[in-house]
Amino acid sequence: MNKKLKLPPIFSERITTIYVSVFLFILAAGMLIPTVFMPSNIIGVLRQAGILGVVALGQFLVIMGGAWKKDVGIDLSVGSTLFLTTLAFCHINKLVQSDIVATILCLLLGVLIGLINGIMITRGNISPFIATLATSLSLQGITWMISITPVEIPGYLIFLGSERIGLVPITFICFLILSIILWVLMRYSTYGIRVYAKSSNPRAAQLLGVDLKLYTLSTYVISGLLAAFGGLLYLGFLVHPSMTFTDIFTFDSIAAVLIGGTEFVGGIGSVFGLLPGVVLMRFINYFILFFNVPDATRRIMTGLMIFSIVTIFVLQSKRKRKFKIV
Amino acid sequence: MIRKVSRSIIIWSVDFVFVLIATLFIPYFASYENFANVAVRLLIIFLVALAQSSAIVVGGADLSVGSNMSVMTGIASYLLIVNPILGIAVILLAGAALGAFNGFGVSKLNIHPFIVTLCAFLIAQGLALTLRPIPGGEIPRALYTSLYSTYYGIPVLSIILLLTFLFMFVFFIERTSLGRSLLAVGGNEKVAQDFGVNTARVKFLAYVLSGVLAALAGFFLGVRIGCGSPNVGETFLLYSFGAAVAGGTYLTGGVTSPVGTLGGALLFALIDDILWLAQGSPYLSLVVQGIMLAVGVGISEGGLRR
Repeated sequence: MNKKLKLPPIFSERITTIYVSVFLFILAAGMLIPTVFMPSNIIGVLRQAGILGVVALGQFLVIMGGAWKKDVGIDLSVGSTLFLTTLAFCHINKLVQSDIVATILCLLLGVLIGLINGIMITRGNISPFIATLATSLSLQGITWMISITPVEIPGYLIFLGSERIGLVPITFICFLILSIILWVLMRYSTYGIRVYAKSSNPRAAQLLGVDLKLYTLSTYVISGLLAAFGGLLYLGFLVHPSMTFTDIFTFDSIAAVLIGGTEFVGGIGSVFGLLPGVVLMRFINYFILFFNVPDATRRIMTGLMIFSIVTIFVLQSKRKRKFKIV
Repeated sequence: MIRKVSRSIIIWSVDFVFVLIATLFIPYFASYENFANVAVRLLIIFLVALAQSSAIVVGGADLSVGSNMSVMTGIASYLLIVNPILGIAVILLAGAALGAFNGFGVSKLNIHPFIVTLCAFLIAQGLALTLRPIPGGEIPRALYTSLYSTYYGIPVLSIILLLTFLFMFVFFIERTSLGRSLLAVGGNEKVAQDFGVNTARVKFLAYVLSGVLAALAGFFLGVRIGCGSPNVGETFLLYSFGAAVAGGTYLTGGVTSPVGTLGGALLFALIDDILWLAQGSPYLSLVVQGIMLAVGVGISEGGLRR
């Protein structure tokens, strides 16, 4: 390539806004309630944020590149995939009597779920919303049908899910490593640039030779794989898997992606926005649990927060557009 | 026109096959008690499907219909026992308010409908949990008995209500200027705007209508279950999408068919009823519903879009 592709700045105006506002929010919370910055709290928030972050990376890719025909991309099955993985691991482990094989099979299960989603969407022309909702329901049913088998969780999963280096838990380090990989992939590889192209103008991308079916499918497969990996991390965190599961991953991952500045209709979005997004989501979650605020308030607050942050983005881009025209 | 009719025929023939199979294989299915049961389920699912299709038809979606219904059962469980008229008025107003929130976000702030209604979904869930943290309260038994009242075995009131809502919606969408504008905006927003349709206003009203219809569905659901419950409405989000889309509403907007939607609603009412009669595991029924949703939507949307 003799003519170098001009890349957008890493820290765009939008990303800066997110980092500053999330930082100010957490700082303000810390001023009001001094216990926020206790090491154990920081570790708790980051550990949960790491698991959510791994799932949100997949969700990010789907929202960026999972659109099909005129329907936007969305993966509503990440939460159920994660939950299914935690229970399936125990069953598979008992069956094959090998930790490594069970881990690999669990990751393959995630790939399979992603494939089912992707095939339903690209071959069956079902809108991503409906297809992944259907998968999510079926997986929930299956998860509740298979009961828990007690097995010993292998040491490396417990290490990944529960250990920490200094103040930073391993789950968060996993998230950081994966997001750097995804960032490089999205920014410098042909794959990432094609996903961006497909995301902002699928028709043009198709004419330039992007296989829309394949690329759409791939985003769902990667999302399934990451959700399964998130499930394994979650298992390492729980140590004893439980049947009581409230899905705090599906909507929170979508919320984290949207707070992270990704446009729902595609074209705009950066992996870097996810970090403040997931930290903010888990920060709210953790401290609401900490102060015994009822679940009702948590949901209302989450709803209002997504609404206000997305409104800020919309106003920001409107202002920019006005400058451009004038 | 032919295409529209053929879509309705597909879904109604699927229903016919379902009824046939259920009559042959499931005891008590073809009984008068069950007839009333299916009719009331159908009424609720049909209303929520109409709510969903009025949002879909302008090119959006309303994720908040299910939790909207939960909120309404909560309100109903407090107010209907005090004063039924006041209760219904408050329910309709609350539905309109929730719809107005969605409409404001979509039409004035230009936020994607999924995000706005996701926020409304979360807020409504929170409200429902605040109103009734656990199922409770009381909804007058008289309403239940009149809804299920039968005349020679036929549940007259629920069928009359069903037909009234069907005719009202058909009239609205086919014969009023607002209804036609809804279709126009969903079909091609730019063209509609060029022809002088106030697209922002039409979209706003579509979401208000969606909120009101979902609130009505919530009211009937409350009457059916007899109490307020914080998450009883959640399964209806699935039914609303399934019934609307299986009945021939395009998720991309601009096309809907109330008669087809009734057929779609009947399909989901039958699935609901059959799974309940067959006394299968509730977990298995989730799997069946998920597969039915994908297959139903796949047949009606994927098959005909090509």
